[in-house]
Amino acid sequence: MQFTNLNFMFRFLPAFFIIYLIFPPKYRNKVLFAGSIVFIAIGDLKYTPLLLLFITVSFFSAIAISNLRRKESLSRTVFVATVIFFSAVLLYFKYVSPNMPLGISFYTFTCISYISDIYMGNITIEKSFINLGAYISCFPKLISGPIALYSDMRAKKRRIYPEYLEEGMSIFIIGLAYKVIIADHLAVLFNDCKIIGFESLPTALAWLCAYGFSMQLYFDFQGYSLMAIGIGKMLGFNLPKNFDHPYRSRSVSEFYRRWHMTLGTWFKKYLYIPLGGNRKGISHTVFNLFVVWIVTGMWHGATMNFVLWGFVLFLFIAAEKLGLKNILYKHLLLSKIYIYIVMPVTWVIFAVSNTTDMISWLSSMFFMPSDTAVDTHIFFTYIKTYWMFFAAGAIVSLPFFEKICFKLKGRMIFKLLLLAVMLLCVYDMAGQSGSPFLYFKF
Amino acid sequence: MKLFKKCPLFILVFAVFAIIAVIGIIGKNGIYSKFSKKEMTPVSYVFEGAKDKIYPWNNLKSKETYEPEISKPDTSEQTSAVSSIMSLPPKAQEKTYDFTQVDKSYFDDALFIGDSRTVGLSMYSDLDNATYYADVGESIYRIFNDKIAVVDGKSMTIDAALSKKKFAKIYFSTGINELGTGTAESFGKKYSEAIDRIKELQPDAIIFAESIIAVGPELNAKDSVFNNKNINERNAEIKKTADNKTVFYIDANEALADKNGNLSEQYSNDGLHLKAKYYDVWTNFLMTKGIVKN
Repeated sequence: MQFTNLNFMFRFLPAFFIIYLIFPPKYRNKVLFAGSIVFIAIGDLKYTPLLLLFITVSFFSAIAISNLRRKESLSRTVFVATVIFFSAVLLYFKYVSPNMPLGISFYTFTCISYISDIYMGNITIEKSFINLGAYISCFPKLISGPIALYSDMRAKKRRIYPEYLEEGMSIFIIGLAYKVIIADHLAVLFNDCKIIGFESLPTALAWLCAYGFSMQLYFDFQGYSLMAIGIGKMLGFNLPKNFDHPYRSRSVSEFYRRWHMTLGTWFKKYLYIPLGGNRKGISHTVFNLFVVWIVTGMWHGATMNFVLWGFVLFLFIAAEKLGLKNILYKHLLLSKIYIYIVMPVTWVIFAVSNTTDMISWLSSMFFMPSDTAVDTHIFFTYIKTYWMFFAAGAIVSLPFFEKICFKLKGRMIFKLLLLAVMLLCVYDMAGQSGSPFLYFKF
Repeated sequence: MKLFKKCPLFILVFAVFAIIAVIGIIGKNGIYSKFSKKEMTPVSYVFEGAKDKIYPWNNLKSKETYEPEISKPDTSEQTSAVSSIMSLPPKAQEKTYDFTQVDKSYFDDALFIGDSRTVGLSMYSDLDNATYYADVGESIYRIFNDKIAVVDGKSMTIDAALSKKKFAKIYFSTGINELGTGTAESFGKKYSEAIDRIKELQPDAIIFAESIIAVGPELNAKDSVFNNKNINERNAEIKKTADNKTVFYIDANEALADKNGNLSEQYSNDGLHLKAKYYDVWTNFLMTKGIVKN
């Protein structure tokens, strides 16, 4: 069940919230756990037991690791076996099984982070199965993150604060608008270009489509993360921030410190640093980056284009490490041009799993389209339809827009404006029956 | 009150949507009856209603008919149109025609009416000499109500446009968007009403009732609505409207479908629309299906 499903927004969420509110703080982890299980059962009943299995394994394995701390080798064995188990299940569902259990990529990483933090001694074990279950299954972050660490969310009692309700609601509405008003409309542009066939896209349209897709992906994912953070806030806890203006970056490495930050942090903490990070000389560092980026690619999807995407990012990031970074940070304009060419190109690789399509799209961008069925002036038809979504995306990303919002935050007029935005979003969403497929009319 | 001061937005959102939900529930069997499907929330009835220009201040309990009429005030005229065709001299009724090969110039005085597939034809085929009254998302239920025709720079309904401009050939192609609405029979009824309406407005035109183009194999296999079984049922209804005198049924699937009756995979990326470079397969097919009356 997506957050933008009206059944989620107007049935599950209010019902859950009222029940959560009725119970006193010390029972709220129970309500959260139960609610999260209901949430996943509605979306994916068949694999709900898998989530419960993951929680159980994490719970007992953490106890074992902690109790065996005196016998380092045994404790290590349990830890390694648990991590292998989680990874093997994830790999199985990604590459072998035809079905992907809902949220598995995210909750696997949540479980691994918990176990690793226990093993590394960063946190003490959670003695309550319910509390651990509430953390791992917590529905706002269950299917798309942010990947919260246990230390971010640990609490026995969950209080609700009026200020949090207010802030959470504002964040939720902003996220909803990002997703519904900007991302979902730009998604139609990408769909249109796909329908036309990438080999027929005139160069200008091929670029427009690449920028459209880049923007769509950002507003979709950032919007979704904000909605999760907003719901979390309303329930009384702080989920970590997932994006920090990635397109203000001046290098690809910086971009990925600002993009899907909780995943980046995860890879850094639980893969890159354990591999040795950058402490073992430059060739070792480059190798570690290679491993991290290939795994990052694989995590995003099972098709080969994701591995290629990870590999291409590795090439840029390695080049930056080896000296390109110094040049980029000396020349502002150069770094901007670099980001605004490299990022859309890498997103093209991310966007299409079919190699022929990928090559067609890239060659339409950099050379001539291989087919001439589409007249070049069609670019203007598309600009006319989509300029306002590009403009909206650009405006809300400007620093001065954020400053204004921050200033007006407490004002009634700003709140009424947000209410209007929410009404507009729901108006836009109504009639889709919760299925994004139906969004597209033929 | 103190709480409202601390979190006015939160309370407002809750209150506003609670009111909307109540309106939806009250109107469920009334004005919103056509939106009240199980998987929809009462909130969405109200918003969907608003999209269809049904507002809460219309009488909540009053009931509207489920299927929108093609053009309500004209029902009486439609029957008269049918009867006027019935009363044509017998000679004109009897003469039938066969398809012949034609060239691009055949479409100089042709009009294409349809949904996104026709929009694609207008954008990516080389039949730029033809006229197109088409829009994305059109269906047999809406196509005569929406202002999708442009005459002398002005947008108007197809009715209005057809009373102003004359066409020798009219290609009519809808059916995919309404696959989820009604049954093959109810679709067939609406379709033949639409054809009658066109006949009435352009009595001299040759009308081509185009089959619904099949969907691709992947979509066909997984979708309970957008599959070729449903499409074939409805194509049979479309075919019934043909008399081979003024109305001719043409089935582009002869050129576009694979041996299993699915839209050929190479022609489409989404299983619904042709890729730009394959519109010529469709236009070449159309050129084999010309009707020339002397």
